[in-house]
Amino acid sequence: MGKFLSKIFGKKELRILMLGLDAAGKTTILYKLKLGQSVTTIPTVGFNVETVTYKNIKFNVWDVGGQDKIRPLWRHYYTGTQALIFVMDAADRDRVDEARMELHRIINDREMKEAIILVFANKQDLADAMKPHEIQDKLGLTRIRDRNWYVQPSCAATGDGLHEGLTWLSQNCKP
Amino acid sequence: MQISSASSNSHYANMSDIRMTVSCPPETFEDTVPSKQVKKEISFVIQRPERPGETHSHHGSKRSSVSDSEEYDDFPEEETRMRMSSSAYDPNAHYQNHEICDTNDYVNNPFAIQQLKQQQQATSRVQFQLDNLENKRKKEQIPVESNHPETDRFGFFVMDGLSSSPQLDPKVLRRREKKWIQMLDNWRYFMDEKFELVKARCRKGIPPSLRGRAWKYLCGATFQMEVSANRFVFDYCVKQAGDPKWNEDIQKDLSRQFPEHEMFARVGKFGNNGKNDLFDLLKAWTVLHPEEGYCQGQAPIAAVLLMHMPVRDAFYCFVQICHKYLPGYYSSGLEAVQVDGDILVKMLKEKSKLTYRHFKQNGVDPALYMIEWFMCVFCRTLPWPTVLRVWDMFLCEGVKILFKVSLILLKYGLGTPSQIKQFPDMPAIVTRLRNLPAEIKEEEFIVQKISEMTLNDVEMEKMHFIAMKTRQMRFD
Repeated sequence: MGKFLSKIFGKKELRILMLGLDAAGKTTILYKLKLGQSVTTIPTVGFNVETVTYKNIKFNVWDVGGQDKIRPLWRHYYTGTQALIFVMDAADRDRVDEARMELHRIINDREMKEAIILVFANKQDLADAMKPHEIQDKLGLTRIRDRNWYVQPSCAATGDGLHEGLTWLSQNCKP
Repeated sequence: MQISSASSNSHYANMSDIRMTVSCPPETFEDTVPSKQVKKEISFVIQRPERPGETHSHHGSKRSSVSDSEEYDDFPEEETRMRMSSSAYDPNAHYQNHEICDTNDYVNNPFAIQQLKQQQQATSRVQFQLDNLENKRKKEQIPVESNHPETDRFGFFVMDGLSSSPQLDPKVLRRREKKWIQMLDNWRYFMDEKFELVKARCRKGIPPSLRGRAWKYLCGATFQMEVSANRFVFDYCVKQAGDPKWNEDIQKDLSRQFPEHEMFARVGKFGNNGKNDLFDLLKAWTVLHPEEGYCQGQAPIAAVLLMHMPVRDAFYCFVQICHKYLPGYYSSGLEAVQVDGDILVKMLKEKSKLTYRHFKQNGVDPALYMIEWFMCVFCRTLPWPTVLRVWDMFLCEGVKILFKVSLILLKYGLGTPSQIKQFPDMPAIVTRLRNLPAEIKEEEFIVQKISEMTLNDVEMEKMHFIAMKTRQMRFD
């Protein structure tokens, strides 16, 4: 019945994979979106998954632990992903290179070829945070022309920018 | 791909090849100062070379690979006793130390009538409460101590409206304590001659007052820290500065481990001590294994140990777990834990065919549910009383227990036709596995089912071998 109704009214459902380096704020973003509150998070070993409904679209968001040691597990979550949310700690200039390499490794994977790419330039509340155009350059996105990508500044603690990100996803994701 | 080298099997074999080098050899025990003997390169000495025919993977009977009574074989008993009682090294010092550390008695007072809580729901609420507390304190300059939130008998903050946990009859508990004390005093005899009894008693649950000490004996840490050449490893490692990269990784996680527990809370009497110990322990590990470093799955393990014993004791238990119980689990590539995932699927086929088929049809890979279970030894999955019972059995019987608990959760959480109908696709299955019904996570239920289930050691060895070969072929 639910499936039938959603066909008629065209309620979209999107599978989103959220990755990024450790302590970038992925889990905080997930629960800010889900609960509207910032909660104390524990380092993710494995993953968290939540369904967030926004503007009549169901986002199934998978948040996977980001420490380098556990990144080999990322590939288990690629299949069926429609959009990648890559979360960046915008104030962590030391690890921009590492983030760039990881991002490119993900988006070049065969299973991720179709996914559109949203980058959250997170932690904008910190004084030293890089702005979107700088992040876009440093992540090597400017050169990428065959993929649909977007950099959205955000602050997970306050929730700024998160819904703008979802809006972009909803407008750019083919069901 | 470094598949073969990262496998638990070869890792374990490598471990026994390493001979080395921190601190003095056992012969020089009495009168040498360790610091003079310390060389730059360090690692853990595996005292006893593996014997032919002994189980190689960690899936074999835990008894042969872990019991410290076997480890004692390298020392004639009399000599050992003499060494242990020498004034230079008093093993009891640690127990005294332990007692001092436990004066807050969050673990050791099983009689305290306090409420138990459902932790999963509590985490966020605790933090709100704590944040409020912090703000209030800033405004009113209230000393922390006077406002320390109430905790349950495990040290977790008590939330309102929660049911109290069933307590063991004090008489039964006292009787068990006596048995355990007698057993710990004659450990070698019991491990050699009465292992089935040790196992049965671990399954009944170790009395809370003796749990820390019993864990140390079960995993062989007592031997490592008191008799073996490794006894100075911690003192050496903890003094080193450590690799800044690993230190930074560890630092990031310190305030994120069990934030609802008083030892690791952001505010409160013991929060900082717990976090400092956690840092020291994990840093010491990265000094011991600079290449391998710190993996996020390790901090919860270390934290659980620190809730039960002082940092030095916890370090040796931690090293035993990482070397012997879960070898390769935290190494780069995480091959070992994924191999165990493959094995778990094979067992699932045998023990709960419906679940197996349902998972297969929906592409539910073991990595989607077992990684956190195995890497954190269920300490984030089960209610706390059950966690402790599982650890009691795990430290006695080994990784087999993790398979059994997993199979029970899968079978009773997603094993009947109606459950399968209710959770028809991958998102539903995964959500279900993260919200399993409380009754199948109850300690008595799990322990009961564990006793009923048999897993054959030889079969497990075979499955391990096949799983590794299959992986190698897939990646070659």
